[in-house]
Amino acid sequence: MAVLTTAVLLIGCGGPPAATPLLIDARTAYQEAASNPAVHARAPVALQEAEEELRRAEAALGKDTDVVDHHAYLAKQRVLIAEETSRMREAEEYVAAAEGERQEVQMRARDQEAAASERRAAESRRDAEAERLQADAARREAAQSETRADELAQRILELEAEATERGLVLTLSDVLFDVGRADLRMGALRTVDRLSEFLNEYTERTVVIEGHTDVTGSRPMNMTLSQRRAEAVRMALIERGVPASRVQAVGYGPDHPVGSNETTTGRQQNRRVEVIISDLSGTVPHR
Amino acid sequence: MRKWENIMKRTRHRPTVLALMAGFVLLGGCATTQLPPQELTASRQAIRQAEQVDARELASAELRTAESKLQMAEAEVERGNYERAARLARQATVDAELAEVRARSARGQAVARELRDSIQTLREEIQRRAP
Repeated sequence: MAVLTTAVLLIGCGGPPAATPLLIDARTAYQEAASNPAVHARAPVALQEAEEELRRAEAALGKDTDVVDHHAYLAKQRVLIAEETSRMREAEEYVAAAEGERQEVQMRARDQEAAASERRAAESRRDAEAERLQADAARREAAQSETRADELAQRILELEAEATERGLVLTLSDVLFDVGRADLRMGALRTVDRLSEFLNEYTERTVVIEGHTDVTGSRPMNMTLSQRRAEAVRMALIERGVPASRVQAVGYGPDHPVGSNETTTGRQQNRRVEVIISDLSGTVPHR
Repeated sequence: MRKWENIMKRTRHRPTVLALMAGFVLLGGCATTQLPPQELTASRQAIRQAEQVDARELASAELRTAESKLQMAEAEVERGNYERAARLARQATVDAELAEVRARSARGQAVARELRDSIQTLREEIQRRAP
């Protein structure tokens, strides 16, 4: 009886296998995973463990359904473990590779930013430089103006002209003319030279030359003399290159004395030619 | 093991019983079986390991499967079904291993995603700022 039981049990182990649903599922799952090159490459050990469970399940076929299902279940779970391990390692591989890439891209971004800020810095340097040049130019101009002003002041001083409301007044005294005559003496010529130089340099200025006399002699004679003396100075200036349009000559005779006609000194003072130099506007206000 | 002892003492079918036991040994030989307490300890350890990698958050379904299997294994020990208890405990261990790898994988993929996104963002920024 005992031998028979054992024999039945032994024969049962060697019979044709009838697969359970769990085993069929496990087989399918394993086939899929095993034929996946990614899983094969990344989780070979886990796959192997799945295969071992599958073999144990197959070995128990026909002997004990519970054991078959037990190992089939384990096989299926190990297949899932293999697949998940593969995904996990794929992510790890990506991170390892991409970290280098990320650093590279980050460096490029930083280089770009550095270049941009360098450009900005260069631009503001250029702007600052331009401003500096402008300021220098302005300063030079100002200095030049000052120099010109100084020069002008100096020249005016040299002219020995007097500043009045009507402009700069240069007085040519009586001794520069012969008595009763209108032609200029040598002494006057130096003054006229200086005056023409001045006018040729400061071209925006004009002159009015006014002849004056004392009360000695007739009025018409004095008018004529004063006019002719003024014109003599005018001609002298024109001969020295001063444009005629800038020079006016007028005779006032005895009408505008500067000293007393009762005294010798006063009369001599009245006998004069006044050269009035305009301001920058180029006009001389009338008497 | 008390049940077997009683049967052995009382029975006149000792040879049958011996044959049956031999058969069980043959069947049992298809898989190595530890004593249930050791299997249970292994399961508990595997579940703890899974929890340590945040399987509670990242693979909660798989972890719950492992835990309920462990509970069933403990119940079978109570009933004296040591064979079945051992199997359930082993299944619980593998279930816990699956929960663990699912959790690790989820974390790894999140890291990969974040890295991919940050590279993308950087590239886009470079494009935008190109003179």
